[in-house]
Amino acid sequence: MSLTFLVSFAAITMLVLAVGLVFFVFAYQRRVINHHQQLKDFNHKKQEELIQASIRSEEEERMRIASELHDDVGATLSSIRLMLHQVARSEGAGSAVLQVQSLLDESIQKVRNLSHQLQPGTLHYLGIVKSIQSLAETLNKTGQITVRIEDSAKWPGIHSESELALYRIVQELLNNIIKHAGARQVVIQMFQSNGKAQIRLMHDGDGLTDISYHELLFKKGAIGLKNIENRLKSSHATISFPKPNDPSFSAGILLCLPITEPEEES
Amino acid sequence: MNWYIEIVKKLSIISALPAIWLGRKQRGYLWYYAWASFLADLLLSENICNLFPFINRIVCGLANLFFLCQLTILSLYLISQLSSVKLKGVAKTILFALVALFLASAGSDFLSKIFWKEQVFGHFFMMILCVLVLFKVIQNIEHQKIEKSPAFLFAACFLLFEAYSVLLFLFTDQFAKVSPSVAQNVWSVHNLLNIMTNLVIARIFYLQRSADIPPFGSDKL
Repeated sequence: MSLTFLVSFAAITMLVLAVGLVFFVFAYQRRVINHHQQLKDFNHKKQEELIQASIRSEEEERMRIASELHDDVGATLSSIRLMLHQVARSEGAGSAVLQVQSLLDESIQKVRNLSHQLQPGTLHYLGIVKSIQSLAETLNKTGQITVRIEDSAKWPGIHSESELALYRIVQELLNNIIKHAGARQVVIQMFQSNGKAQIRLMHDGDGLTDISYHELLFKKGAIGLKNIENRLKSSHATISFPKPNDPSFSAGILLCLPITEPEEES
Repeated sequence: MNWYIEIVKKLSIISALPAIWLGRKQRGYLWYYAWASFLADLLLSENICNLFPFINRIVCGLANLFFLCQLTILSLYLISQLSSVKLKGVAKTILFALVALFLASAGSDFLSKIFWKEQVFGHFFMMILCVLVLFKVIQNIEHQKIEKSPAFLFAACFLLFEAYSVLLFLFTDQFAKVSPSVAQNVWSVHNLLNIMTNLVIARIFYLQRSADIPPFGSDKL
């Protein structure tokens, strides 16, 4: 065998091996990157599951407290009211008794309102539109703010858990508008557009922008906004803050939810 | 070119010393291999052979003995890195068969002749073990940076070394027939690869000092 052939053969063999090892290193690095991506996706999924579990347990607790308030405390207060009424009838209604009766009526109403806020009875049976209308009526009675519902006829059917999430988000947003925005008037529009269920809130107070919302989200405290964000994630909804076209309103909030078929209620 | 060849020969002798020093506390298969490599290079060097005539008489036996040490220690270590119990059993059986075959081929000429072509089977077997360990490395992806994976460093480095050894020992007679200088140059490349393997073993011992690197090469014999 000639020297040239031997040397060429040996050189080519070693070169092929070296190139093979280089490809091996590239393949290894690609597998490491894929592995990290899989871990990231897995952690993200676990985080979503944790948020959903947390929200579910929160709602169950609220339901239990609402039920206890209504059935136990509310019933006891009603019994006390009845006995007081009998005492007032038999012994004559003195000013103290009248005062107690008034305070009792106020307490019963507060317990009912609290129970209703914790677990809106209308949501399960009548849907989110009626529930938000009921919420708006409650807020209108306070005299602090005027809440009007518009364009709710075309609201699509969505999953009950998503409806509950949206209801809670609207409830929290209205609380924030009253507490922080200083608004006197709020309009809520509920409709379907581009394959999404949308809720638009417009008010005449100080509004947020997309940037300020995200800044506040990472601020210490801001529990209400964090709850909103968790509910948005769990229901795969989005929030944005477009300026309303109507000049009588200074700020707007838009909630969008992809439409899924509503579950069959047993 | 002779000064270059001489430098490489000297470096080849001392290249195992860093591995011996760094592995002195960890010990294990690779540490004993580093010692064997150092002693073989030292005893088989021209200076020592000229200094001690009795070593000159048994130099072929020493070369054969070093090959057996290399084959046994490195193969047993590579086999221990494999996952499959069945594969380990098959590999050990082949190893012992190769050792037996080599001893049988050598026979009474063990001390007087170096069996280059018979060594080719052993080096080829170690090449296959290196490839299997590389498969295991890419399946498990234990380390984020592959250059910090002792298994990869060992298998890749020894794959190149064993591949060159296979080529060299297959055609060593042909190289010698061409001219002594060609044979010297070819063996110089082998010495360079030997230096590389010894430095990689030192690197592996260095990496193992770090707490998050799993042990590799520190198993006790």
